[in-house]
Amino acid sequence: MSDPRKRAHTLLTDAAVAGLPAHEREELEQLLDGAPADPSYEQAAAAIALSLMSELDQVERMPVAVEASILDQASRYWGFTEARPREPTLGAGDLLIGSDEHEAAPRRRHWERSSDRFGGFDSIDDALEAGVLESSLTQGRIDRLDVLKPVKPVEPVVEPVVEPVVEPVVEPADAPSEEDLEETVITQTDDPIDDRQLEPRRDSWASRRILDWATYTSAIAALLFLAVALWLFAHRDTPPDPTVTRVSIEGARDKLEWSFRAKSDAFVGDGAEGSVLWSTELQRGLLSLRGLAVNDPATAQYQLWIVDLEREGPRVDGGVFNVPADEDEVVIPIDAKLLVGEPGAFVITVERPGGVVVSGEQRVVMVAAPPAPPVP
Amino acid sequence: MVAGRVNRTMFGLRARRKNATTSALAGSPQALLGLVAAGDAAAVRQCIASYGPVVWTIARRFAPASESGLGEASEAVQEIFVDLWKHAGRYDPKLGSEQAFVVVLARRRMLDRLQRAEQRPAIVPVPETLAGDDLVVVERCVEAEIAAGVLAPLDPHQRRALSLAIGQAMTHAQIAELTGMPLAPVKSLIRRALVAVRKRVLAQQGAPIQ
Repeated sequence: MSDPRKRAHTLLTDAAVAGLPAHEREELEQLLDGAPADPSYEQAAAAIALSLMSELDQVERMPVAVEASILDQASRYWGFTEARPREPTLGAGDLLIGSDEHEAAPRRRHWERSSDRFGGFDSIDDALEAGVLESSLTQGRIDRLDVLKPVKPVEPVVEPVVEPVVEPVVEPADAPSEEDLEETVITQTDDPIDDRQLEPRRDSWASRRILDWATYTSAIAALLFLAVALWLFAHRDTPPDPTVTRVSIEGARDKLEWSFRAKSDAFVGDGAEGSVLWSTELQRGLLSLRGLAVNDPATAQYQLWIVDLEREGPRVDGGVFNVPADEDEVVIPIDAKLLVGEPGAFVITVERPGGVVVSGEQRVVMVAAPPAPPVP
Repeated sequence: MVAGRVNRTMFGLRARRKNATTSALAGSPQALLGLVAAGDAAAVRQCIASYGPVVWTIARRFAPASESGLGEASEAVQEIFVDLWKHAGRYDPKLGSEQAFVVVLARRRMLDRLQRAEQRPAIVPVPETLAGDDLVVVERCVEAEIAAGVLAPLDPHQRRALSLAIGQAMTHAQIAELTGMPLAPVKSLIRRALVAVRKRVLAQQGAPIQ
């Protein structure tokens, strides 16, 4: 092996192991002179990494929240918009037309990338001829384009002439009965046409009045709606009063009250405890906590997470809160950012100021879960 | 998390969560990436379930030791999977296993991130062995089997050095300091190990060794 090749070999080896500093990357680029790097070095590194991982049992399960975010990202990347089971795609004969039971194929990339862009047909015309086409309007579902099929000319059907055995009694469909006729007579006699209604000028004036009235009413309704919306917007961050919240939840049919279990963390003091009061019906809740360390909101904040058994993906953000100094017990109204279907647990973590969208749960300080059922 | 609990997935299918003794790659067909490249929803989901633990482990090992490390690992995993969606169509079964393909992508992305950082972040060495319910056992692909054969004669110290280098991208100097081995043998050991595994892998693939 010549010197430049030997040097490139060494650099490729080091690059595959742990990457190269900038000057060595430049050196390698010069040595390779535009040729692509041999991937076998990276493959060897991957093989060693996998061997060591499997040997030492060091493969960690991906956290649920991370897995959920990957799934969410994948759904956006591939254009999966709805949860659907996997089913045959294009050309399947037993597809239910327009049914939501179909798998959502990638909205764009599938047909862009796939070699059988038209479901095994060479061209869109062939696909149309066969009656199937992936419709972008239906997000990848298969629509049978019966309307585009060539319509066969209908052969005139010659039916044998059958003489009617019985002459049918034909009545005119609109022939009024005697009662109808009577009502008509009454109407015509008791409610004669008011000649004034025939005056075009008066008629348009009345219409204008009605139109004006409708416009004013609509404007007032819109203003009222706007006022309510502005009020709601202005009060969106106002936390609900804890006393009112407690009273409402105590009266709720689905009230639950679970105790918090403290975890080992620097933010958890001795004898830390607490409870959560929650009503799914009201979508309101209250935390009562003792023994959590006073936090500096500029450095870290507590954040509540609600494990929703009816929801896939990350836990529901229950809001960020602080534990101020000089307060023995803090009472925090829960500010669930999403609708909670069935709470399975309430988790308090320590996060960066302002909280996070998805917690890595690196620092869990308290967990409240349903009490264990009594032992029979 | 209750092992074996049936969970609904975003695609409306049901998947059984693996317990600690189940292989992360059990039952994953080799044609998985081909289906992923075609945008098959179930294959994408299976891909995440199958390769997620390995990708996550790599991201965690390469992430800095700071408090933001977990967040960075999560971000990196997302990047890796986007890479995988983009490049799944390039996978060629003749050039190796799917598992190795995914790990190459994951390591490449993590090394890129390290190189992009203005200052190489401090990485805390993982313990030699981990314990807990959140571990999964990985089935060895053919390349990993080859590597295991090559590494078999190494003593625990040497394995540790290799694990710190390839598993966590630590520099030779850091490894020497952590293991107490002199710098030159550390360099030599790591390079020789990689070269030996590469030769065997290429030989197994029937490719010429350069």
